[in-house]
Amino acid sequence: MRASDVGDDAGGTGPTRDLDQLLAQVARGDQLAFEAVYDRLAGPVFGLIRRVVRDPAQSEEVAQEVLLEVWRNASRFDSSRSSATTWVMMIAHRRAVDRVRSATAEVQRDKKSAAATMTLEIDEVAETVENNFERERVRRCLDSLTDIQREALTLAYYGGYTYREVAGLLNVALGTIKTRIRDGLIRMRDCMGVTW
Amino acid sequence: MVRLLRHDLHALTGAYALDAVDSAERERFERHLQRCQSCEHEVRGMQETATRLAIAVAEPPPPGFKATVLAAAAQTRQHPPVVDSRPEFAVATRPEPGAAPEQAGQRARHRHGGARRRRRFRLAIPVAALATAVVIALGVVVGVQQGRLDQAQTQQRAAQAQQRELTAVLSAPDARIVSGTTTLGGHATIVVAASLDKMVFTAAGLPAQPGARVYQLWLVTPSGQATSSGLLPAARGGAAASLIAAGPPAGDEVAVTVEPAGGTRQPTTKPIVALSVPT
Repeated sequence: MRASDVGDDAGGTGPTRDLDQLLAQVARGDQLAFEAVYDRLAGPVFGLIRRVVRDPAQSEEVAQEVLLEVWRNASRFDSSRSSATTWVMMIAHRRAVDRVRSATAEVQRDKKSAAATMTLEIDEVAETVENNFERERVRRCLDSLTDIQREALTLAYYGGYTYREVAGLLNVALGTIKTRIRDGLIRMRDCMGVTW
Repeated sequence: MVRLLRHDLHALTGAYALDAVDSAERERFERHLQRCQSCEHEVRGMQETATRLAIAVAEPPPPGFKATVLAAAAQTRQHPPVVDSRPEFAVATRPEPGAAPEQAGQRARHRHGGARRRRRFRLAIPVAALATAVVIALGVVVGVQQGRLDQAQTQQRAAQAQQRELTAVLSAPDARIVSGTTTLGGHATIVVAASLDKMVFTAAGLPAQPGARVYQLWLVTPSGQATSSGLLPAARGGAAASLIAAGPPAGDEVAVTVEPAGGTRQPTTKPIVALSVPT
């Protein structure tokens, strides 16, 4: 996986079409195409799930579910609704969040300590050549946000918290958190030049 | 729950795009999205943005994970696309989006049930002899693919996994074999191992198709609903073409059609052979 392969995806360039095509092949039961999709996206899928779920064994379980869902439902991917990478990442994030929220119902997580460490996490990511470029850009753009925008955004996405939980963690009014998440995302979108 | 104002709903685009809403809010917002084009546009841009956040934290999965996932996929039946059924494969029940297709198939099978007669003949070819033929055929496919050096190693691993899978199907205690001739000459054989939920399909003596056409394998339910099981790898020099696919339910048919390159979502030509899956 090269950074440019995934990095350009949302921009509607070559790799996007490529991944779209691969998914169409996967939908027809092509196992080699599935392996190619795996090679492209397993890293981001696993990394994102690890971030949200934390527990390595559970993360592995969820990541496998996600990749199998991609295999099973490849015929239902609709390129007019999202890029292929986003389709996969949305499945991954949704599943990860479902896992931690159902776990939360059983065992209350230590939200205060999570809030304290969360904002540091973007720096903890293991350095790998593949995602250096994209990570640098994300880090730079996150830095351009206000503190509360950045915290709200990372708690919601990497932490898997609902905006209500985020409001509780940051001790901020619900309406404020909603708009901070929205404003923060819009700024990130513009900063990273995301078009679709 | 208090009824939200439009303005409040619109402010939820960000939280929704990050899955930071509870399920009740998600439902309500999705209803709103259907009527609010600007929200939809905004949400999509945000979802693409979130993807960048995901890529930024990419992490290599643990060793062995890939083999596990690929092996699991090979054993997992895929969902058909949500499309209108073609008249020549008329179906009474179309699976609802998200509904398990197996269930729809079972409903259909239940209705048509025992009335179905088996019209394909079976041959009692010793499984071991067939195994040899299939292994040789897979060897041909792998040999061709290894020309692409950059992918040779991963493909070799995939080939080894495939070989193991194949051996497992052929040596399964409940392996059943069905064979038939095709309308284009040559013959096709399936070995079905219900206990593994897998099938090996192999065809020998099929004429090579010109570049623009391929052989595509289908599972056809008793009610006529066809699901692609993939394309047959192009066979060289008259060798057999083989494919390992998810196990078809007893009573289904395994059919092959000639389709435009890349395959189609639904069969567009008459099957050149159709084999009934043994019960």
